[in-house]
This record gives sequence, C-alpha cells and structure tokens, in this order.
Amino acid sequence: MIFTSLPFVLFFSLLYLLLLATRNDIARRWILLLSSFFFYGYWNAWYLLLIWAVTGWSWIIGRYIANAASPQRKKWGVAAGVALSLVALAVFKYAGFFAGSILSPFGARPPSFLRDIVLPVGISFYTFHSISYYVDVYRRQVAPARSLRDYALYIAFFPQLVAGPIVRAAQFLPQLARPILLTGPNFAAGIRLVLAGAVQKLLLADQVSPFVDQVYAHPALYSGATEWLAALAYAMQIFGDFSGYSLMAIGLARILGFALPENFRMPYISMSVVEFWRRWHITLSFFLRDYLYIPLGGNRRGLVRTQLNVFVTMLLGGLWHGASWNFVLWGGLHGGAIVWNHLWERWPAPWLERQALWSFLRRPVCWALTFLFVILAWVPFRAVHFDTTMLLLERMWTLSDGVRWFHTPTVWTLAGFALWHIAYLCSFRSRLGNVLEERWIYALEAASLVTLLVMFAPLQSSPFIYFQF
Amino acid sequence: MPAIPRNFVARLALFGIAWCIGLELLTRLFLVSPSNVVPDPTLGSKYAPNSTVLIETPDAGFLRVSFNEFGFNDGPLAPGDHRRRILVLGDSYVEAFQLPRTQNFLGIMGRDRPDLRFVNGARSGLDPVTESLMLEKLAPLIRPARVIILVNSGDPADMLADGITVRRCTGTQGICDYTLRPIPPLHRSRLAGLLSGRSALLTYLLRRFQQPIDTQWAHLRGRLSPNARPGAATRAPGAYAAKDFEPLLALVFRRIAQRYGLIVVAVPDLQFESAGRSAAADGGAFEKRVGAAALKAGAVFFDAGPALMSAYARSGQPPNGFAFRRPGTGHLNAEGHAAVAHGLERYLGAFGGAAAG
Repeated sequence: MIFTSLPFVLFFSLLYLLLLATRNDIARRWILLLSSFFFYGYWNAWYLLLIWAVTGWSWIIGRYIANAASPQRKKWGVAAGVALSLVALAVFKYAGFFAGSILSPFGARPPSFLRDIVLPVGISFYTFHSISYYVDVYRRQVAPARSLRDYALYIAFFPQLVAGPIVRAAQFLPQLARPILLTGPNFAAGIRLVLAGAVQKLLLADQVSPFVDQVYAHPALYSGATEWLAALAYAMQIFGDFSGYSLMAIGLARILGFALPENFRMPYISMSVVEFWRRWHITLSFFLRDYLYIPLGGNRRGLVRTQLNVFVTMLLGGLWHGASWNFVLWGGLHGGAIVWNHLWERWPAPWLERQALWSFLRRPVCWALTFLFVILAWVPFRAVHFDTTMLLLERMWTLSDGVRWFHTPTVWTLAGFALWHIAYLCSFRSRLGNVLEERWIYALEAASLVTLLVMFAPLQSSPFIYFQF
Repeated sequence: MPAIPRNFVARLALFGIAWCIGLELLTRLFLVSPSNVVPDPTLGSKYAPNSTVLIETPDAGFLRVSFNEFGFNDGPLAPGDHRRRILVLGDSYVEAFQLPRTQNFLGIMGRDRPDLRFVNGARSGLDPVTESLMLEKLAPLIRPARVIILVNSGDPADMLADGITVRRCTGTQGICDYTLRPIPPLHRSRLAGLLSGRSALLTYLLRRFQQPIDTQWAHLRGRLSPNARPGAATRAPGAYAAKDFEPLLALVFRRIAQRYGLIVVAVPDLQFESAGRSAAADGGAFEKRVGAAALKAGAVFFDAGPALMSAYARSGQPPNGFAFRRPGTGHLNAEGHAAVAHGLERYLGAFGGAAAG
C-alpha cells in the first residue's frame, strides 16, 4: 500500500474520518496504532511479528536503561539493545549477502535458507528508531515511554514506518505527551505537503524511471551521451522519489497532528559534498553523526582519526542502504569526498580565497564539481553490480557510440527540475512573501498540483526506491 | 476543520467552472483537439474527413495531423490525377502520424516513382480482416490498380480482439468466409462520444482513463461473478482463434489478390543488441506464417525484417521507435520507413504508367 495508490487514499481518508469522529484521545491513539499495524501488515502479515518483537524488547530494554542503578549497567543496557536491533537487521538484511561474499571466492553459494530470507519492508528504519530510543533514553534526552501503546506508536507510526524520515525518540515521544489534535491549519499544511510530494514522486521520478531502468538494464546498448542523460535522470529520479515520499510522510503526519523532521533541502545546489549531506536525507546524516560518528570519537582525536571516523561512518551508511558491495562503494566514494573536502578546506582553500579570480569562480566551480561527483557516484548506487558500474562509467567517459535515445519526457522533466532550482536560488518564494499564505493562492496551488497529477501522472506508479532499503 | 463560509459552495463551483474553461483552452492549445472520431457503418468508427486535429501518440508525443476526404492521413486525391493508384492498407504503422508524410514509405516511394500515386488507406487499430472489409467500401471511390497490405506483429492480437466469426469449409479445416461481430457506431458510450467531440479536455481524459477503468471494471466484474467465464465468447462456434491466423490471412489475401493484385509486407518485431546485431523476436515465426499465407493466396510477399536489420547494422540506430518510447520498439521511424520503401520498390518493378480507369 504505497502512498500514491488508490487503496492508500481510501485507507487514509477512512482513518481521518474515524479520528475526526472520535473525541477520546486514548481511542484516537489506539486507532492510530492499529491502523499503523494494518498498514504494515498489508504488505505481509508475518512482518508484524518482527515489528512487534522489536517493539517489545526495545521497550523493555529502554525501561531497564532508565531504571538501572549504575552508569555501567545503563551502558550494558544500551549495548545489548543496539546489538539486538543490529542482529535483527543483520539476519534479515545482510545474512545472505555476507554469506555469499565469504563463500563466493570458494565457488560455493550460501545455503538456500539464507538466500530465501525476505527483507521486511522498513526494517532499516524501525531498527534505527529503536536504537535512537536506547541512546536518547541513556543520554536523558527523552524520558522512557511509560505506555507500551505510545512506544509502539513511535516505532510503527505509518507515515514514517517504511522509508523514514528517521525520527528520533526525543523528537516523537514528547509529541505523545499531549493530546492528538486534528486542526484545520494542520490539515491544509499537510495537504499542501502531500500534493507537493506526490508531484515530486509522480511527475519527476516516475516520468523518467522507464528511461533510466531501460538504459541501466542494457548498459552496452546505448550511446555514452544517452548514458550521461540516464545518470542525470537518475539523480533527479532518486531525489523526486525519496524527497517526494518524505514530503508525503511529513504531510500525512501533519494532518494527523504530528511534526516529522525535514529530510531534504534542495541537495543539488550544494557547493560541497559536506553541504550535500546536510541537504540530502538529513535525518540519516544527523542520525549517523550523532549515533555513529560521535561515539566513534568524532573530531576529538586528531585529524587522521577524525577523517577515518568520517570514512567509516560513510562506508557503513552506504552499507545501510543495501546488501551489496556497490552501496559500500557509494558510501566509500562519499566518505572519501568528505575527507577530501575537509583537507581542501584546511590547505588550498585559504590560499585560494586570497586570489581575486577565485572569488568569481568559487561558486560555479564548487557547484559543478560537487554536482558532477554526486551524479557519478549515483552510477554504482543504481547499477547494483560492479561490472555494470565500470562498463557504464567507461562508456560515459569515452562517449561511446551506440543507440542514441534522448527520451523527450526525461528532457522536459529535467528542464522543469532545473527551472525549479533556479527559482529556488532566486528566492522566488520568499520574494512573494505573505502572498503565498493567501487562501486563494493556496486554492490555486492545490488546484494546479491536482490538475498536473490528473493530467500527467503515470497511471502505474513505480514502488518507492527506498522501500528496498 | 476550517469553518465553511456560507457561500463556499458557490465560490467553489465558480472556481471549478473557471478552472475547467482554462484547462479546456490549454488542452486545445497544447495537448489534443476534441475527438474527430465519427460513426462508420462497417467498422464502428473512423476519423472525420477533411479534419485537422492535435493528437497524442504514445511514442512521439503531441502532433498536428490533417486527414483527407476519406479520413486518412494523406493528401486529397486530385480528380485530374490520372496516375495509377496503389492503395496501401495497414494500421498505425502505415498511418504513420509520427512522421511528416514525405518521410513515410509512401512518401519516399512516391518521390522515387512519380508515375504512381500511393494512397494511404491505413487506420490505427485495423488488421487485415477489417482492412479487407474497409477495402470493399473504399475501392469504388479510390479505384486502386494494386494493393499493398502491411502486416505487423501486433495484428494477430488485434484479430483476436476484433470478434471475428469464421465459416469453416465443410469437410476441411480451411476457412471459407469471415464476418465481423456487428459493431454499433460508437457503441461504447454515445454520451461520452458526443461530449468528447466537443471538448478537448474530455477527449484527453477519456483516452487517458477509459482503458484502465475498463480493465479495473472487468477485473471487479470477474471477482463479483467468479462463475462467469470471460473467454466464453471467443469459444463460441465459429469464433476466430489464434490457430486460424494463417488460413484466415490466406483467405483475406486471396480475395484482395484476385481483384487487384497484392503485395504483402510483413514487419516483424526485432530485438536490437549492441554493435549493430539484431534478430527477429520470435525466431522469424511471424513472418514465416504471413509469408506462407501470401504464397497460398498468390500474392507477392516482402519480408521487411532483413531490410530493417541491415538498416540497424549500417546506422547503429534502430529503425523503429521514437523519442517518447524506447528505440527499437513500436512504430517505424524515418529510418525504418526508408528501409521498407527501398525494399518494396524492388517488388513494384516496372508496374506503373497511366491509370486504366
């Protein structure tokens, strides 16, 4: 049941009407929790057993951490909780991959029970939620949830359950301390976000996905120029797909009276890879920073160790995305680029800043290099196999001959995407100021977005890319 | 929820009407024109004669097309033109909305053979059976000296969907006659047809949503009445089945060939690989069946497959497909039409000269 499907629209409409009709706050919480379980079980009812297990043990361990007498015991509690969550993730997500990686040099395959493990949707996200809970309780950033129902709602809250944004316990649980309020302004703001997200998903990502899928499926067939276009299109596709999903999740939560954190902030205008990660999948970046990079030592142990911590964090961040060495490669590329970025800021940059020419060139050069790097780094992310990655990069580099295909919808969509970014850079929205808050502008915006969706959205939406992670 | 003002509904209705009018104008300007499909007693519907419309094709986007006095994508037949007429039948492959008329194979052959007038008699969705029925009505008006019929790999499925009834010859497995299921003009929805003839927006929305709605409806109906067999109609006595493709094609070809002389062109599905390699998608089975039917009917047969494959080997670009869809799939592009034209010209040979009547 994906957000852009008819069953979900029916599900959410019924849920909202039911919540409106229910005045009792406790009843509203139960309705939200049960509907979240229904939403999750709609994929596969067996997955519910896993999410219930993760919820149960993390709630118990959270209470143990909060009530433990000594700091040592608290630490043990956190370690046990994190280990349990990671074991669940490792078994369901990585067991087959690691077994295959170890056995393949000997010409053997992993046993069938490992190969047949099905990745439960959203496991990467809700295990992170549980880890956030242990650590936030340990750091006293949030009080342990008193009610298992409220804690289960934090883990299973359906807008953010399957693909984020990654919500920390300290961000979500305090919202459950007050009654669930369904208000007009929240509804209007939420609808605006949902529509904007649907446009990003259906009119950006889904317009180009057939083209990208085709080119990546036949890397030797198409010309180098077509493969460049596909690389560019994939950058837009993954942004539209994931940012669109996140916006819809935030909007749906807002309609239900909850605030979820922002996940994307125009990442492709970044001037450096460091800035890119402050704009791309923000909740993951900050999660990795606070729950992995800082515990590894952060920047407190000298230059070399700091850069090593950055690299390891990004490597593991890459692996989190999927059980494939290509994701590790992608994470490693970004880790390497961030290290390079740090070193650049330390040595050549101060000297360059003093050169007159650099003040003119800095912004376009930094943007172009960052954008080019990000585009090229998406190639292994999308190609999945190492051989395909190398073939594609080689053909792009040599501008190989082959079938030329300049897919018109992709070119138009890319042009629209570029225009949108230019409008953002010109502060188009902020120049309009309060005009955007006028009711008639809201009506016009909503009608335009709905019209665009009705007229041009593909009738068969593809699944969200991040569901597989 | 926000408080609803007293005149909210009136405002909303006004806003909706203004919005729809604006959308209608934008649709007419940039997307499609109101439907120009009109009733036809033989085939149910046809394009309105002498109309010009903006249409959407799945593989080439939004195009402006003018239809002649017969409702075909071709220029008018000048009364003073006494060249011999060669009528080309087919479906959207021949109709070729995606290309300027000078670039489709009729245009190319017309340039190479100025002594002949190639008349485009093709319409989307037709197949050899419906084309032959259309020919009966069209022939007295066009008076073709020869007929070319193009068969592509989508035709077997079209023939299955058409609701053809065949009469089998007594004592043999052959087919002696065929008829179409009676199609009331614009039978699907008279109201939708009437309205879409006036509204571009409705035309666009109907074309976009009618098929998925029909599919969902059929699915739902199947669920509601699981005992009803959707395939029952096609298994009725005399119903055309896939195995009848070749004998029925032979009968259709024979009837045309006996009256006009016929050239059959087969355009198979091809699979394109890197380095200019390509192959017939089904191992060449389709064109073999069409070729066998043409042979039985005494018609000239031209398999366009090798010409299209050699065009790909030469240029490295598939001879079919446009920018909206994957190259190598769907309709022939300019390269493909050129390959078909040059291959076909050899079969026309010395045929030509002044019209006999």
